[in-house]
Amino acid sequence: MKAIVNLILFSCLLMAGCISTHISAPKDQRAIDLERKIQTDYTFLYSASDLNFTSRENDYSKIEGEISALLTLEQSRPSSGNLVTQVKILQNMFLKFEGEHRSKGVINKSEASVYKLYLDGPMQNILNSENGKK
Amino acid sequence: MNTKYLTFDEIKALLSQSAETIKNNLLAKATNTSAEAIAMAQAYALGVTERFTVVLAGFSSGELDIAFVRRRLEDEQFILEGNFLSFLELGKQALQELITDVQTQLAGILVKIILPAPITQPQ
Repeated sequence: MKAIVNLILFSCLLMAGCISTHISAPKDQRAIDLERKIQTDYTFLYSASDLNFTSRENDYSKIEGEISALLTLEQSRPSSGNLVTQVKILQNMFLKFEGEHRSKGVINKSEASVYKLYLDGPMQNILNSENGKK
Repeated sequence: MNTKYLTFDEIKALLSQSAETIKNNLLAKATNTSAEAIAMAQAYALGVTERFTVVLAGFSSGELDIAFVRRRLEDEQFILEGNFLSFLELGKQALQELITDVQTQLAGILVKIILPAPITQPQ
């Protein structure tokens, strides 16, 4: 009898575990605010009239810090697997663009517009995922 | 013999055609064909058209060099991974095939811009 009760309890725990991994993380206002801030800040960076890397280095550092903070936040949230992957993609792309800008020194308006457009891709995915949460 | 450069509208038409192929190939590979998956495939197809219209316009005007355009072609991989690895339940193999497919389609258009099609002078 005890063995059957234990088996039932074990099955219930197993089911609860399975279910909990499929429940998505609830919407987090801190993450949404941070995502909007990152988007505003890279839009501001790439629409600047002076696109000399030296002048923009602080903007890059600021956004880098914000993306790292978002990644830490997403990693601390339960069941946010997709969001962690997407923020890492955003981070990789941003660091790549920063490296290109650094090595070139000054970028032109077309390059800046394209960088913004390419960051909008993963950022839109992140915002969609976030807004899809309840 | 003369050469014919593509007009901006012709480039856009080629991109639009490729976007349709990309969307169809994507949905053919996806194991999840829910309404959400279809909407995502359409959004990606529109996104890639928008991005490459701007990239190729910059290249055509001489503001973007070929190395820059090639790097953006590589970046499509990141965007595809972000979009589809988990959501559309694409396996790594299917995703890699899709990335190759997108990059081949876009590179094909790029080649048409770099190497203008020869046209024969009327006799």
